[in-house]
Amino acid sequence: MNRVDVRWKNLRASYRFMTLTAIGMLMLSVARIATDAPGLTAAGQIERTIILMLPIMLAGIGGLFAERAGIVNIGLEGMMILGTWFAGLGGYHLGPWGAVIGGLVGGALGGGVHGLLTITFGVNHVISGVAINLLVGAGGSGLVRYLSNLFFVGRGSGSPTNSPGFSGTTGQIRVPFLSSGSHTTNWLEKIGKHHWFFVSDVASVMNGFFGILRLEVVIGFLIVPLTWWVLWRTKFGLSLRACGERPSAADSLGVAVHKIQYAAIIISGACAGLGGAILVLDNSGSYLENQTANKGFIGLASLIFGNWKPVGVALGSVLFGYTDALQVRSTIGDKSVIGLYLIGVVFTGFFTVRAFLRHDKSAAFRSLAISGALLAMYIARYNAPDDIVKALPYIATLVILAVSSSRLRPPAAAGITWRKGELG
Amino acid sequence: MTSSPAISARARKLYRSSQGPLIAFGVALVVSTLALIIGGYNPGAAYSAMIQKLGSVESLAIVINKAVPLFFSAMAVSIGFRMGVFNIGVEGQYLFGAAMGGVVGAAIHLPGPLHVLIIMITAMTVSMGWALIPAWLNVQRKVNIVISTIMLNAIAISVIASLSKTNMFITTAFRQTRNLPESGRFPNLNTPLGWIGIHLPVGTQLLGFTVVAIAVGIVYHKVLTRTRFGFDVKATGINPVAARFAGINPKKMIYIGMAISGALAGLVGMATLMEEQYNYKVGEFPPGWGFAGIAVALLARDKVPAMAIAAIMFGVLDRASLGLSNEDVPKELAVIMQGLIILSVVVVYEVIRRKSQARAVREAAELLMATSSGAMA
Repeated sequence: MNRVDVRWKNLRASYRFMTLTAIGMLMLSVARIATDAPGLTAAGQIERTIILMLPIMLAGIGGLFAERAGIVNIGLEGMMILGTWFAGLGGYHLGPWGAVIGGLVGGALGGGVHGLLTITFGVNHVISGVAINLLVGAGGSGLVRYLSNLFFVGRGSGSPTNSPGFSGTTGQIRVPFLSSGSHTTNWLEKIGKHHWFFVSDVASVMNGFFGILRLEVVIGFLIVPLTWWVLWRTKFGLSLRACGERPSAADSLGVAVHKIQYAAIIISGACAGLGGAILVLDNSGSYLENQTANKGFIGLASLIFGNWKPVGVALGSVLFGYTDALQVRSTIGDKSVIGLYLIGVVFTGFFTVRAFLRHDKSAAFRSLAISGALLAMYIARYNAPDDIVKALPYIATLVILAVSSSRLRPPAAAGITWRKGELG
Repeated sequence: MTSSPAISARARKLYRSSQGPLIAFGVALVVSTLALIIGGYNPGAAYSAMIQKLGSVESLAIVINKAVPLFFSAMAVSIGFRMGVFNIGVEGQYLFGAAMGGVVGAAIHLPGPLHVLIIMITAMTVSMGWALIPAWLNVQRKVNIVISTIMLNAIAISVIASLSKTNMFITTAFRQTRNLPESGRFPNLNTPLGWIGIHLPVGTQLLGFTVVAIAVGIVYHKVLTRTRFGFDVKATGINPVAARFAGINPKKMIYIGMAISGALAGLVGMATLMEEQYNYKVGEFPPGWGFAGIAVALLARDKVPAMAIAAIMFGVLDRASLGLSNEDVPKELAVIMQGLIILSVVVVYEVIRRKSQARAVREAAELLMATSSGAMA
């Protein structure tokens, strides 16, 4: 078992991502058939997942830029809220692309403020982030409510809590034979309807994916490989990561630490803001108060879950986005949640066997107990209350962090204020 | 030098400790004036409308009522700040505690004071339990407390929402707990105020919980500044490594700190539950005090008397903001001012801290120079 593990670690991140996706797909397929819950792999569920995961992923990527440069960014939620508000403003005046740019600018503004406080003034990073969230209005009214009163009230359907929407989209990529709306038949949809084991599930999932290739979504997806390339293949990326590991060393080699950190925190805010813009565009171009619903915070969780790596962040946000999308479906009486228990049983079963083979008896018993509980819930077809399903992403975050926190490795200097001439 | 050194030292100390909030308030005033001008409003008229709103006994009572929950929340947050643990989860803790306090309080019938006590103990225990989850996760599984408390806030709200559909609450669409019986309600201070000749208008009350807030505040202040435990908390926050060498168990400190924080969080919603609404209704029980408490604690730099003042200041801004509607200014201006005060106060404190640190280093260097040159001569 150990040997397999070593090889697994040596695999390239992208291969690991693909393998995990395939395993996940297979398990979803089994669970779908075993529980007779077509919702688990329905194209609609996948479309929802993508819309819900993208903002989480972008917030996570934003957090990645910041923390890799040594700045902890608790303010992601506030920056995403600024993104939604400015996307509403930009969209109303300039159309869909105005919304995208508005989101980027709004988020970057928030990032700039966080940079000013933490880099220039040396305020504690968590305190600064919390203060930004409070000012912007996370979980209540705040700056955005005031601004909405000034800029949205009296314009179209605008009110203190929402912006007047706009029509039109950024455009959608339609692939012949793979997505609806083009002049060819949608093969994926056809195959998906057959309910064949695995094949139909894959087709259905891909159908969901190709059905929602709006340009802002495509941009959102492309940011992950782009981030990897920037951070691990450019000089800027190397300097940035050095700032997050050991700023004094970076400084001694001629890196302008504070400049790089400013760039990183502004990119960080812009990413979160883009996530906000995607939410606005999905809501037919209208900004809504509390639209982000803690996605910035979950993004932060996906950053930790993903061990401060782009592919890990993507994987984490797929997981959180999927559970988030399930709660939308469970409100219409879908039984998909029960299928998830089965997947949970398989996962915990895997951990039980692994711990047993490693002679770690207490860990094996713990996993076995969880596995048993999930199995019991599955057999009883326990349909969790909607409100608990709603909390699934948060519960999943806690469980995952509790299981994996000790093997995670954050950037060494994240959260530490560095001044020129200091060691650190 | 006419004044005695003790008085001038005290004056200097007072000046230094109030410098931060004053500068912050100034910055907030300047920026919000700019915001008003940009919005096309008359700042003079807006501010005078705000001040006018404050000029009554009624307003004074309402300001204090608003300050009470904020004060509890700030105390709950600040014990974590003192020891370097960020409990962002007061929000979920107080809501959960208040909901359970409402459920238990409506289900039992006991003589007055005992009934009230049971409700308070229930709320404090539930909130404490909820706060101990992140403590356990941190100590046993090394999970960051900031992240876990943020997650637990959201989970608490979901758990309350799902409980509200069971028969612990009224099993209708109302999603609220049954009303507390008369014996479970806390008396307000209107009668004692009448004795000293202050009569509040009908429909206004001064919360009796103000007394509890003052009492808890005094005890908390004494514990933090006059006991071994208070010193341990401070030592853990300032230098965890040194604290450990001094025999302070950091894991134990996290448990105790979060437990106290949670228990105080349990008191945040009590005044509303036992004196104003008498029940917990999903969506109507006021949210946001957990976060506002963070702001108050930041402003007051974790000093208990300063927290009381800061809480009252936030109450003043809230109350005064109602006057803005006369001038057609959005009342969220108050929220922006609060936010700006926080942003600028953290900056000002940091700048002051660095300056005084530099001064201390310089003074130490001068002292060293003086003594070493004296020794050589």
